[in-house]
Amino acid sequence: MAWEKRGNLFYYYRSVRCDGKVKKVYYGSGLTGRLAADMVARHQAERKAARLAHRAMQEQISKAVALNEELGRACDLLAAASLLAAGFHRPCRHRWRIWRNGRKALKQSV
Amino acid sequence: MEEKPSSSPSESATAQSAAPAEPSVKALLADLVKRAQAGDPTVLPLMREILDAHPEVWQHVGDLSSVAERAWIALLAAENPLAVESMKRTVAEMRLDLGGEHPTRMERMLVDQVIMCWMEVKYLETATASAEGSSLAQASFRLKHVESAQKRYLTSIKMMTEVRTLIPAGLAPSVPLKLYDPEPKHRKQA
Repeated sequence: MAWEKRGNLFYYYRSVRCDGKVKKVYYGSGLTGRLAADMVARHQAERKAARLAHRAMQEQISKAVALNEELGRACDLLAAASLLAAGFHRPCRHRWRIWRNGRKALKQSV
Repeated sequence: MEEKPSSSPSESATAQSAAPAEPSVKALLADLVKRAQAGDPTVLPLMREILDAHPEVWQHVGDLSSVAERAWIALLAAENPLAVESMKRTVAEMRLDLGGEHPTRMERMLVDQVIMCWMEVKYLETATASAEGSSLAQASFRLKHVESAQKRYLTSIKMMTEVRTLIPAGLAPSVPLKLYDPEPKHRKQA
């Protein structure tokens, strides 16, 4: 509760955390209190909008990165399949090189 | 597998509008690749058959790259129409430069991957350089992100070069060169 009732009047306070403890900062009543409340509300709205925009941007980035990763996996698979079907192999993650047995198997199938 | 050089825009348009590959074909292909890499040559004829008979596998990659391209352009250009147009032109120019005159399906796919990775690296580098008021942990996280993007970029270039070296179908001229003709046409007519 930012507005607190003391007697017949309302006073605007704001809770602030300071050195692990919550402190109440007094702003005032009437016009001063309303102005302070408006300012705080506007600041909170701005922070929320910035947070939402940042989150949306992060989601957009992670979607694009995920697409790139999926594209990479698909390309790796097709490139490997094409090279194997062309008679090359990659033993123990070395460079791709001619696969004699593979070529023999491909020739026999034709 | 026969790699046919083709660069017609109609074909690429079909590839973009086509449905993604059936997961079963993709899974089967992945399984065959795994078996072949483990040293089983008997699966190669079937693998070649699948690559030739299922164009949707290639089309799926085409779809992915076009979606990824749109996503990166939206991020890089930040809804600025001029930047969007210039990015599109840059990408088209890169595609032409890297692909050459008559790239094969495989080469086009790898070129697309290189371009997407380049866009990712560019975006992340710019974002890292312009990040203000971030903590040390956030900065190191961003740097790691850039490094993994650069690694992907270099791997994609390496794969493209390797495929071009081993299966140079796209680099060969579309009209075969004749270095020596023992009987030229005018002599035959005479």
